[in-house]
Amino acid sequence: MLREIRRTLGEDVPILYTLHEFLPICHRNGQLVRTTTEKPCREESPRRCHECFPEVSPQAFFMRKRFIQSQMSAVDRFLAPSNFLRDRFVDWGLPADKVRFEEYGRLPVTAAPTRERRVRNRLVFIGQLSYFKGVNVLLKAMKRLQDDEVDVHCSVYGANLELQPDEFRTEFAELLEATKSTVSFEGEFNHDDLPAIMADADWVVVPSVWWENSPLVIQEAGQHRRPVIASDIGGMAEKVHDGVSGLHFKAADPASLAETIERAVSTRKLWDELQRRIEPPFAMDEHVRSLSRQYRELLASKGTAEELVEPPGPATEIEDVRYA
Amino acid sequence: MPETEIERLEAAAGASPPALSALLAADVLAVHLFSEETEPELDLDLEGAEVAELARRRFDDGGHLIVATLDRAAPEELRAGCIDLRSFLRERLAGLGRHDREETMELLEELAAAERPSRDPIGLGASRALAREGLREPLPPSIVDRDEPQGLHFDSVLALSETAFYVRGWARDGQAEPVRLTAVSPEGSRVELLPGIYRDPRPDVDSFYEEPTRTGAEGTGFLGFCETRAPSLLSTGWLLEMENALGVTREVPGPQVSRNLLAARSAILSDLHKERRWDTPLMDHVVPAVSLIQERLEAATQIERVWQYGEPPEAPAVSIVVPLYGRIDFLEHQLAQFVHDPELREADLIYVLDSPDLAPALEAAAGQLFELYGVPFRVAVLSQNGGYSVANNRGASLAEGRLLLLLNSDVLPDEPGWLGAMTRFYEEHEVGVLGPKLLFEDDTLQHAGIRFQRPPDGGAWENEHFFKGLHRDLPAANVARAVPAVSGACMMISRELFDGVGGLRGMFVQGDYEDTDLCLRLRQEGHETWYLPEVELHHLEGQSYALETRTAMSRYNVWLHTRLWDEEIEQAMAQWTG
Repeated sequence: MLREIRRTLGEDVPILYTLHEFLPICHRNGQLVRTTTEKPCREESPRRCHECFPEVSPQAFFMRKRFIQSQMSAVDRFLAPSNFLRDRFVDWGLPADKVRFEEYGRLPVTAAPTRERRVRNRLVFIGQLSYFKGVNVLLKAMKRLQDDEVDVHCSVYGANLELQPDEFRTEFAELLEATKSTVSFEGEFNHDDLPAIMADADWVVVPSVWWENSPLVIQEAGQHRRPVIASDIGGMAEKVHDGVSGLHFKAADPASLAETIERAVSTRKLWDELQRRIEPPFAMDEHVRSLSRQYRELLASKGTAEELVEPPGPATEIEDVRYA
Repeated sequence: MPETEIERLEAAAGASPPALSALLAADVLAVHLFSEETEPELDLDLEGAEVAELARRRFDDGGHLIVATLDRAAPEELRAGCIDLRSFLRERLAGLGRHDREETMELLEELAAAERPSRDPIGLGASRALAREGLREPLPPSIVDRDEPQGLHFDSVLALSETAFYVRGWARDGQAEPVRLTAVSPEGSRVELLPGIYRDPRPDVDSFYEEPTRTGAEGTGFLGFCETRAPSLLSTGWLLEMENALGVTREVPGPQVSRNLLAARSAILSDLHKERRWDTPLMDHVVPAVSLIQERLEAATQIERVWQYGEPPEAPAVSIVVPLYGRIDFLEHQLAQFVHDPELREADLIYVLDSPDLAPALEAAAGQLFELYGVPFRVAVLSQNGGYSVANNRGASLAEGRLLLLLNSDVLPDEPGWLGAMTRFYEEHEVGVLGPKLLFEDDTLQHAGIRFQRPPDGGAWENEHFFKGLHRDLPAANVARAVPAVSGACMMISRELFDGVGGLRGMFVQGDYEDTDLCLRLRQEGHETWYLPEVELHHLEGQSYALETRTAMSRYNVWLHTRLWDEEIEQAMAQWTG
């Protein structure tokens, strides 16, 4: 596909490619989680990929990688919305000088109001209801907190439960049942309702058991000035600064999450301090300016800068990025 | 033989009642019989008629037999002097003495063995079969019974060509040692199986008979390669005769002939499990049989079509020959790497499709792949699957370059520049064969040249890759040097040398040992094989064949390789280590 694009455009037109996920690296839909242990994968190799997929030979994995890399060589520059993702692709074999960090831009929104409250004990989970998003880790933590009679409440928003394996759905249903006095399952949500959802929440929890790239929900939490409690791995650890703009817990560990939530809701002034240090998300205007600057750089390097066109129109015309 | 028996045979052969015109039309045998004392003259210079005298013989009673072919245009007076074969057998030959009958059989075989091709070989065979039944002395039939000292069975006849067969069966005699074992073709060709045939133990047969056989320690069974003097095309009518030291004779009818070459090859190769050593006399039978099958398969495998994609390079230095077998997706995998290397656009890139059933799929894909990658290449489609050596040889026959690079489809270069590096080294050092460093998918060494090793008991020489499995940067593997052989997964050789030795030898079965065989043949002519570590490619082997199907073939190949090269390898290794 990339080579077809290159062939159609000719050599003089720069191709920028934003890396959204790890599909080129990982045969498991880019999940980077071992099928053998369900633990995040730190390093791919033909042998390790073959361990995850015994029906695919190590040789075939080698050829897959070389083939994808050949296609990707048609690209002039890659943009990575997280340093974590950039480093993974460089480790995998993309030339380091071709891969730049470039955060997703956000259109400006009005932050949801924060009510004056003595206790900051309302959590929200927003995301796909899947194993990899760690929603069950959150529910297990909530079960512990409920058993310990900690005063905390969590709302769960999410869709696509019907696409998940039976095993996951059963566990999810059982955990919901077990935590029904502290967790409310709200199901699918409309993106327009996000300010209202945020207004009702103190903390956003991002408990994914895979690396993540640059989770949009963290940016959205930032826009609405809600501190994030996130897994301490990958894109989440990068985007949420532990003890600065949010809190980390040990990924996939309900005990660690429960302990972190308890600390979050019971430590006086912690919420206010974290909220104060949340940095505003990267603005769409800046993002667009950066992109057009990079296109111009590449055009110049190809010697076709004279044909420069004006950068695209106002940022508001660009559609907002939705949840993946 | 009674007439009714002849008629039965005629009916079995599907022949029409004896009519001269039918025989003439069929270009079978016309028999011209003269009873005068004088030597008859057959006027062959007849206008408009094709008449050829094939053989003649004078009988004790003064008669003459002239065997000739006649066609429809033969004049009436000549036809009038002729008699058709069936009538002749009945009326004249049945009464001859044994000696005359045997001589007549020989005469008929002689003419059938003559190089002159018959226009109706099956008809000729049917006529010979009739003659055999009319002339031969039938022996008492063998009966398989515990109380019968003689036992005889003809298990199988595998036809390898019109004159070559692989036969199996058993023969035992509790009375006296068998001194003659003769396979008789339906057409009457006689093949003496003793003493050369391979004998193998048949405990199943031996346990059936209470008395031990007198066949000595060699075994009751027999199997092996044999050849008839004249072609045998008929599928039924083989006989097996046995005679023991006391003159007792027996015969049994043979089985239907099997003519499927691939099935025959599998069956013959599976016989090797009876033996443990490469120098077994069994190989004296298996090698000629399998070689003949390989030759026939090779001859039947021709280039059917050639498709050119893109402009062929002008005066290319190198022709790259890549057989495609089973997996045509490897083509795109290679092109996706070759696209990074300008040298590959200058090379004469020839893909040889050795899986003709995939031709439509390949044709649909290849044009698009050229559009996409812009690397010019050709595709030669073979008429049938011919195996590694045939595919390479056919591809090489199209080559334009002065150098050949034989490359497997599952080999991917590590980085650009490899082809030029090999070309420069080859031409500067005037080597015979040049092979690069090959790596496994995990970057460990797969190939840094090949040496030969054999077990201490003098077993077969096996190919061993230097430093296999070690780190790709191992210093010892980073030295360019002469080696005993290199892998055919990627080898460079000048087209002149390649053609000079006749290319890869097709006698090996399905892609094994042809490469070292080529290196050894060049070595014999004074050309060295070199290993070049600065060129690194990945060889992602083992994705095309299932392993189980290869074990019988591998055993054959390794034994054949040693059979061909035992001394040369001995020398090569002595020189190499010394």
